[in-house]
Amino acid sequence: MSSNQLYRGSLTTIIMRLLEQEGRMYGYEITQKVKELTGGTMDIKEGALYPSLHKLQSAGHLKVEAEKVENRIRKYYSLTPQGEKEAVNMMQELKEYMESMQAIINPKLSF
Amino acid sequence: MNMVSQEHIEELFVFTQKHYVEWYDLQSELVDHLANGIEQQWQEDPDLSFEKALQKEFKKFGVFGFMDVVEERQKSLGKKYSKLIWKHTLEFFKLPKIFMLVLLSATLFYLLRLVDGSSDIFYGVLIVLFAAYFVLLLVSNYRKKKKARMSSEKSWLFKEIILNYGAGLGIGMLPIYLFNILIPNTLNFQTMNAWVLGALSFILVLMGILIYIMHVEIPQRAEEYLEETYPEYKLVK
Repeated sequence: MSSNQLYRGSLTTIIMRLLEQEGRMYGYEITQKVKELTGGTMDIKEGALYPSLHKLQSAGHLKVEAEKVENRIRKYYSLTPQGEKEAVNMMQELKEYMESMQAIINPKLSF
Repeated sequence: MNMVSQEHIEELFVFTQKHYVEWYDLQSELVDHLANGIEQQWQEDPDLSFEKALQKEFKKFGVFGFMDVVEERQKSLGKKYSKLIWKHTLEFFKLPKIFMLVLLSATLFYLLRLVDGSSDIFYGVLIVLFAAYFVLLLVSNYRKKKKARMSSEKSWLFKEIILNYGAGLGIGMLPIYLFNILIPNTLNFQTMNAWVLGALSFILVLMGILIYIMHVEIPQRAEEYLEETYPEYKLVK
């Protein structure tokens, strides 16, 4: 889907926002949640999701818990206190970005 | 609902291994992901074979498969290891370990002062020492890898980094050329400027400390660092 290219740049923001709302999630759950919220128009690439999660983790924004679920181990990600602050910043940045885009796409003409 | 069986889980582990994911920490996360995806597909189409569902799920990772995931993980854990070395090194600049740093530097300084003869000999000794060190490092790393391959023990990426001393890191920290700059036109340590010799002693001691940190201090606390890195480490050990 061509629209995916636009989403790619905001992947970390999406992850942070979801974790902010949901508390803790595992990788697969994140892909499904995004699909559900966007009515299937947005599909997170798994090959990009895990690198982003691991990057955020080593930056100290996320912490990981492991649990045995059925016959396998599941890793849950959640925000650290530092991550919570970062999530707010990221949302602010995204909002500003959207406003700028809005201004470009629908310029208010003044004479 | 159709669930992924224990046998299939084993198959998934083998599958990740075949796709160049050597470490258990990454394997287990990917296995859980693939298993979830397969179960989701079975919900929609219960007759779908395990193999087909797996291929479909794997395709979602893109043309590079698990490579991006592995690369990023290596990068971020490598960074973590560097930070760890840095943290341990900083300890030597604080009380009480700073006494050791100063004492060792001073001792080396006076010992070098005693050396009667050309500093070229000293260079030679130093180069031989380091060459021996790298050969030992290469041999021991090779042996460890071989041993790990033979044993059925799970491998953990961060453990490998710790036990291999961050691989190339050891080589990168040897700026022999530095000594060429530091020891200009002096053939003898006894006539060398005291400040230059002091700096030389200090750098040598610091390098020794770095080697000590990578070979003794961090491996000693490896378990602790692994548990900190991997919440699942205790679950499966």
